[in-house]
Amino acid sequence: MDKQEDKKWEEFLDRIMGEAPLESPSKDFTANILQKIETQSAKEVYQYKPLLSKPVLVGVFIAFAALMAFVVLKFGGQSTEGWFDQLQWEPNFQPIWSWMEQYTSSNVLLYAVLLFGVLFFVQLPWLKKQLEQDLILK
Amino acid sequence: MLTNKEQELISEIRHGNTRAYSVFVDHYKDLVFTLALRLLGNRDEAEEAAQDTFIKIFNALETFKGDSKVSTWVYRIAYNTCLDRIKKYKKERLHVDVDYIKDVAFSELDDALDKMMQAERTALINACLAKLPAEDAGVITLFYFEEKNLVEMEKTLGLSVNTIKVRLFRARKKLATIMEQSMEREMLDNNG
Repeated sequence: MDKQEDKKWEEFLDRIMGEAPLESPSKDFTANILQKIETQSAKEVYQYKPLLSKPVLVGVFIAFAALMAFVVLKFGGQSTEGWFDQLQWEPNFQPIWSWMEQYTSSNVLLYAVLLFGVLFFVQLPWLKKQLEQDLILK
Repeated sequence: MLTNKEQELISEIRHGNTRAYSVFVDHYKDLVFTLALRLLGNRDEAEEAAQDTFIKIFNALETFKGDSKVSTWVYRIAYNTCLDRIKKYKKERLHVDVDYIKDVAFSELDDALDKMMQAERTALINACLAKLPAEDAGVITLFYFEEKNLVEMEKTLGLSVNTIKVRLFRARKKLATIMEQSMEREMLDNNG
């Protein structure tokens, strides 16, 4: 196709496109976008953050363990002079737990209680994760 | 590259002024929606794609350096959003078979268009544009949105000027073929 004919085609297209009007979206188009943006910003504001971050918790644990180790090394773990050894536990427990003396439990009950305990501690982190996700999605 | 007004508006949006962003959206919404409509061929989908485009623009405005025109940057995001949508849903638009490109006599088309009423002509042009394959409709639409500036189109499409010229040439011929077919059909319908 020669250049002159190409030029004429271009003019023809100019005419067609000049007459093709711009289309408009729905009336609440801008309002919908702003609403989505505001929801998105709100999510960023209310994102869950723990009170104590992981490094702080680890630091606290290490400090506590170090303090305990220091106390044990300094004062010894076998001391008989401490106030703890002076405490009289047995008489206090006797009247409260006396009814349990005759009690015997079956193995099935023992396993059930153990299993419940394990499941409880498995569910804790799982539920926490689910709740956090829900909070972020909302 | 940016005018003072544009810089002021972008700065206000970056400071969280949502009213300033509504001015920005109102300024570009028709252009973005028209581009999306011609690429996707469906009003509902075009509206969703246009909304996605403006949310992406809002999130990316912080990183906009102003090394191209704002409009070019907006068109690029809109164009890519639509292409992603086409790829994601793997939708083929219903269009007439234009794999063989006919040499249409433009003078005949020109005369036929002259004889039509304004409203009929607009409806026909819209219908023909809707039948164009997405890439061709996009190239033609952007060519006119960018006021025939091929350098800006290069930035929008990420293609070389020569490739864009070839695509434009093919798209133009496809559009002419579709118009001729539509007009023939219309004349047949009118003649009973």
